[in-house]
Amino acid sequence: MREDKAYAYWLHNAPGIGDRTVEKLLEKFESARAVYCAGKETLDAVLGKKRTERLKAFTKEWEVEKKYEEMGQKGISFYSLEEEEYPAKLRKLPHPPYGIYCKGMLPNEETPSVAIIGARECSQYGRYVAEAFAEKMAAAGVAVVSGMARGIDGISQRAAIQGGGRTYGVLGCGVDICYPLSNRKLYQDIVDTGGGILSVFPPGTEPQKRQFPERNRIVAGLSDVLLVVEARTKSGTCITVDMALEQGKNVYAVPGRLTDRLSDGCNLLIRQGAGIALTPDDILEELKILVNRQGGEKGELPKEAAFNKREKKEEDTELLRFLDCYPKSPDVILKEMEKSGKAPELPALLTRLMELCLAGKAKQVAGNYFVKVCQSL
Amino acid sequence: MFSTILASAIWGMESYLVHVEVDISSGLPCFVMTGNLGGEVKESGERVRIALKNTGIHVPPMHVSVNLSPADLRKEGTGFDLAIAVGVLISMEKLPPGCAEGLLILGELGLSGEIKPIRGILPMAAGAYKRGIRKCLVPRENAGEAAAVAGMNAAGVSSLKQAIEYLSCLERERDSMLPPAVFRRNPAENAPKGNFSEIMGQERAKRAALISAAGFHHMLLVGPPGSGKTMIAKRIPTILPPLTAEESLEISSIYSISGRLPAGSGLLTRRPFLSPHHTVSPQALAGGGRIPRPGLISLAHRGVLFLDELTEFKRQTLDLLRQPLEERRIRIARSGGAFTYPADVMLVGAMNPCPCGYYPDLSKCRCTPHEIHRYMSHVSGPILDRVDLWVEAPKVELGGIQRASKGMSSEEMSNRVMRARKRQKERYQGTDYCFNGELAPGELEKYCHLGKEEKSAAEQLFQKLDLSLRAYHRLIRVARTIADLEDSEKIQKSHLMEAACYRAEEKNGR
Repeated sequence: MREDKAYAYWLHNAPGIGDRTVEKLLEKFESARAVYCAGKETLDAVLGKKRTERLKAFTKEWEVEKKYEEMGQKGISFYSLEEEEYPAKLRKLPHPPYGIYCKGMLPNEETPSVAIIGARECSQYGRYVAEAFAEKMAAAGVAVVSGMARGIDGISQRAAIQGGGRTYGVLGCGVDICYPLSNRKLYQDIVDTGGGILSVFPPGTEPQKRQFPERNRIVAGLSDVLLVVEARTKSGTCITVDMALEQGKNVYAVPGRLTDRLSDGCNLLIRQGAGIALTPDDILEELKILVNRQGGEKGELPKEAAFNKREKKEEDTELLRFLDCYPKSPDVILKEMEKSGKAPELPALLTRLMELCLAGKAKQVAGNYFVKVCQSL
Repeated sequence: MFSTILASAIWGMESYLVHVEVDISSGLPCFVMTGNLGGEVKESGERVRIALKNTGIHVPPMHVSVNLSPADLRKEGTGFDLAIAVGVLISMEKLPPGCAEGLLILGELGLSGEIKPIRGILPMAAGAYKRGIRKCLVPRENAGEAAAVAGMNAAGVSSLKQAIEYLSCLERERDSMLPPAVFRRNPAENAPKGNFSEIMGQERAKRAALISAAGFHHMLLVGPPGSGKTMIAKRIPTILPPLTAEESLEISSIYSISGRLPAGSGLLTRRPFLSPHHTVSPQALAGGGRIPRPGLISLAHRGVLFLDELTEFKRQTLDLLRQPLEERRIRIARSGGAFTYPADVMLVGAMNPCPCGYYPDLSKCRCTPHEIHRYMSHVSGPILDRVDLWVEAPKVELGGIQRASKGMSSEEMSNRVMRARKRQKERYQGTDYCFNGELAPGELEKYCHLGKEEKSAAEQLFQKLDLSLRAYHRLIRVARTIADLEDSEKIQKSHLMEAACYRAEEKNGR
């Protein structure tokens, strides 16, 4: 078995042989090992002369056992389509990837999972929403799958860890490369908390633009439900959504305001019929239906009725009404207060803003702009 | 015959008296000059000889020796010409001996015998006055400058002939022949243009400008293009407190040494406002040359150095400012000597928050955090660290313009600055400090005492906002100025809170 794995690993690393070719080869030879042992002529029939020569040259240099061991030493495991451990959710995809690398654990087949994705350059609003949803998902025992990118992806995964859940990061490069580097801590934490870093690209593969659509396909494939938090139109997120729809997954989007370019993608999705995610319960409800349909026990998912019912304190000052989840400059706040008829002097306003910051109800961002710390969605 | 005349020379910011000793004796006819002279001083002999000839005086074919004493100090410039000519004339007995006693003589000669203006008259006259000299004979163009030194009797002459006539007169008749120049303040002199009332919205940036002007704090304006950052900075001179007499003399001296004092006016009465283009070279900014001359940072002494588009400046150029901003003077060492020039400037910077300029408006800005970080890192951390007030000049909404609520006007702001200035003057009486912005960390406890409640508030700010110690000191200094602006001797909690709003971003990671 272990040997078979080593051969599958070899096949997956062979140059010029993609998933489609592997499919063809396996149809003929049935196992990776058989491909390895196959003679030149038989291979020629499938691959053609040039590729066969390349494969043979590659095979000469590739020490099957040693290479496989080396990978194991790095803490990376490999699963090929031929094995049982291969994620069932991926197996269902049209043209499933032949192999998947994993650092940490593979997602548990029984655990429902949700992909939370969105823009890399997200707003404060997107940040709050992603955090709130991911934390609730984690608390409800739902795995969060995402691309570990900057912005929404990373934020939701971090929040999932904070919420005590497992999260799986699918990379567009080898699993031994942390991309983006700014998520180093998250990368480590995911593995440490029982989650996993997954990729269909062999270890050592550098992140490249063309690899990301495939990464997105896997993100969609590994999840039961896709949640889009913030996205522009024509963004990478939209590609993931398209793939999820192709795979027949349910897509939920978090609505945003019409004037926000960052919410355009989400709003558009809603118009096209995506589910509207107003609270995490919406997603949990959806997952429950899915679980039930698959014959699981009823009410398997713990009900979270009390979501976001953090008691709203009465003493919330008037001022908080004028703050928002996108950065506002004091000048703008002053103008708006003027409109409503009760404007303090600027120094007094600044003082009050600072007091709110100290009380943890507001935050100073990007220099001297202020945002409300969202306590309810 | 031997004669000695008083002249003066500049060394850095200091001036010292030079005795021009002339002796004419028999021997091989020549004109010998000694006394550690620079090139232009050595040429002086030729100018003097021909200028005398063209004035109708023939220098006899004798051995003329000129020595400038003290002989060990390097002498530069063309200001010795007139003194040498007068010395030669006395030695030739064309002028009565003693006619130049106690008289400081300065000026450059042209071959025709005209007298041309020179640099540095003001510090030289001031230095001479300190050493007990009360009269001076200077080029006419410089007379007003010399007269700016109170008590100095300055006669301005335009030709060698006129100078001879002046010196031939009896002492008591001289004033009637050539009335001493009167120092006139030039009222129209660079009166700052603009008014803060012209700026729409931007109340907060204006408030920051007010605090900055009152306490002489460094300020950084950050905002999208077209939001009025430059307008605000350019109007800061309209609210700066006027110069004191000593400050005025100090600044004018620097300008005089650099030959930048506007013609006809003796003293600068306005605080300088300099806004160098971002292509400025390091030497131009800091000062330089074989014999170092003051750079822009010294020319902006006691005034505003406005750096527009801060991120466009070369990092190397900006980093030059680190030490001067801290020490408030700059020491330049070159082959010609090492000089210390004052550099107590109020730094006002203006920049965009990101390459496209619209951050944090994410509907418009698509810069990645990495790009923003790289953009901000054009300005080195230590420079940003010295900024007391970091203020955003956000995009002005059209509604704001239309309402056009006139905010504070320059006059109103200037009055408040003056009141705050007065409080500071009283507080820092007998110390070197003039403004809150100059307070050293060690003195903060003494001048910025916090009550019990305020102290706990300050500590809370320190902890919650994760401030560095330097940032904390900045906060206290700014709070002190805000309190002064509010006419409060005690720093109150609200002052601390407001000051905290202006803090610079600690890390650029946004």
